[in-house]
Amino acid sequence: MYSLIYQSPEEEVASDFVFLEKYDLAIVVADATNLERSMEIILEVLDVTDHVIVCLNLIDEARKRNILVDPQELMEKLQVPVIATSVKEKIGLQELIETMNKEYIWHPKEITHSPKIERYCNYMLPKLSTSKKGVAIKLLLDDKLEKKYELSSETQKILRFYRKYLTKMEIKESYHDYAKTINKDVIERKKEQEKREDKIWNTLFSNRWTSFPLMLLLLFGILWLTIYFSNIPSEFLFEFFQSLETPIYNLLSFLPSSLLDPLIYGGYRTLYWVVSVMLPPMLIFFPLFSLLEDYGLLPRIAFNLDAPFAKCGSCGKQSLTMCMGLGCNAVGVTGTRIMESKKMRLLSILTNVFMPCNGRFPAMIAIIGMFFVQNNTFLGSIYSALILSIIILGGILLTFLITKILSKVILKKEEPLFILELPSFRRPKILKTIYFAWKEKALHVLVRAIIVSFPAGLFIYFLANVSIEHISLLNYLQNFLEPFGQCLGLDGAIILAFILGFPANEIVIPMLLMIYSGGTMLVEYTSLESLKQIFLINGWTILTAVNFLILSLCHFPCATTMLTIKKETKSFGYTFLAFLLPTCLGILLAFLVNLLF
Amino acid sequence: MKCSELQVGKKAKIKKIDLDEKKQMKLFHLGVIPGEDIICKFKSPFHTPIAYQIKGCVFAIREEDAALIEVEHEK
Repeated sequence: MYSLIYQSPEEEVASDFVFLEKYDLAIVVADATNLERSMEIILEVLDVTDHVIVCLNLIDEARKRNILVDPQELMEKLQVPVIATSVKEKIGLQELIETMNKEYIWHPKEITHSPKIERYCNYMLPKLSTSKKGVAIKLLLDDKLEKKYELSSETQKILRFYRKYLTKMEIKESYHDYAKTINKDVIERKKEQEKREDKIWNTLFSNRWTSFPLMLLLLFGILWLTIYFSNIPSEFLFEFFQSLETPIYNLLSFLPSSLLDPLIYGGYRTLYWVVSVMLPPMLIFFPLFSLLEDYGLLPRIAFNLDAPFAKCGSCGKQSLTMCMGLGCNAVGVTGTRIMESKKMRLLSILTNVFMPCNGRFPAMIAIIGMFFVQNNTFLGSIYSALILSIIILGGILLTFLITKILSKVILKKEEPLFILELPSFRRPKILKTIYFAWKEKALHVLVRAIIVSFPAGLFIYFLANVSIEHISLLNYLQNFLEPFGQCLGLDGAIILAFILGFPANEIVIPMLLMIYSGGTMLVEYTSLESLKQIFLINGWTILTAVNFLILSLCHFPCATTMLTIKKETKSFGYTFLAFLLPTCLGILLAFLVNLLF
Repeated sequence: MKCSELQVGKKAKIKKIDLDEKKQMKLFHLGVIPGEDIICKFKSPFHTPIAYQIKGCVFAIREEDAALIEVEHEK
């Protein structure tokens, strides 16, 4: 947020709040390493209200980088409290709280504007019965304040004139010029020390020979760590929940078995499958990803990928939404808000599903582990991560392709300016990051999966156990879908599982197991590995596994994502397209693979 | 000289900005204003976008936009 003379939606919201709402105190948090940039918003807020505290955050970082900022001098200049803080080093926080509670006689310095603006303010301020020039300036920006003041028709006429006469740019320049007079006495940039970390990463990321291998290595590394370290907890959880099954059954044995069986064999079994297979990868992937994000690597990825995305009619920021989509597609879709261009946003929303989210790639890992390599050895986990990386690269390739095609179809002439800020690298607080990633991301996704999996388990149990003429409803459905599944090198059960997985992708595999076992999941298995037998009995081959992976990557987004797309695009047409596009593509690809091999 | 022609690691002064007002306003926030010093930090492997630094702010813009910013070498 850099200005109340807004350009972006978030700045408009902030601007409206500062001007229209009631508050006791405004605290402007400025980045001490880049105070020049925050100075304008400090002045703009001072121009609206007297009650302002300026907080110079990251003061430790500024010192390290040889940027000398003088809070005392700034206080003199502005005549409001200025406090240097560092949240990381816990500097100045106590002081800030004390200042907030202190009684002050607020009398900040008045800002001198350009002659043109001063003339306007001289005319307007008496009419508004205020002395704050910012209020008069806000009147120029929009008519939200106009309702508050009953302006005479003559004043309104003059206001209209000034709205044309004074451009936003001139207002900005006026603040900027005043800011400059303060900056020169408050900030001293000695020979700036570039952080060694910044230098190394910037060199590696911008070099043509190292940048792409580095990015691939990062992708592979995260996936490998996720696969390698989630195996043991997965098996442990699985055995743990399994061992609880009989005690729970006995405990609830007072219930009639017509109720207890669906609860345990339907609901509980699906539930613990989801938890034990999905939870460990989430607990590893989300923190790792957050660490990279907080460290500041993601903007560098967007920087490097801008050129290829530009060729497809989009921009580098799309890669950021794709990264988010790797965590959760719904988050990725919401994340497209970082893109200013409507067209590029739409392209990113429609293609986000090609990034396998956390609800899908653990299932992919499981299938890879069963049919291609052994996950639970060191070498196996490396192969497994390699295969998954290739699948994700396939998803990236599809994203490029579809974006390119769509950008030709969606005709909107837009030439927005691409600006990407590249903040310097900052070491995140590891434990805190892990904690927040678990709490805010993993838990959230898990709870959703749990909420869906239990009733879905019950539903399947019901389908399997209600029969018409000795054939269960499940079999009817399965048989109905069988020919379609065969065309894609799959079977009816797999298609049904994907359809049932619409509320949450996490439940696709447990649904499939339920269908294969006739709804009871009554299969003796001691480990995840032995699940392979169930698939083999049901006629799975390597080709089935390949097609399953293709369909996992390319099919309709889950219900939550669909709702998010509807919310973000505000269009049924585009939501429908988001559904149709990956589904048709997946069907086509699986069909071709089945045809060729 | 065009800003896009500035070599990596070199510093120059901004003279003129030939972008439309909306784009100019966006760059204004980053400190892209006539009279400011601008340093070319690094380029992407595809030569566009290019990362620049003005004061404490590092940002990237595309080559075609940078070509519309006129700069002058420090004497």
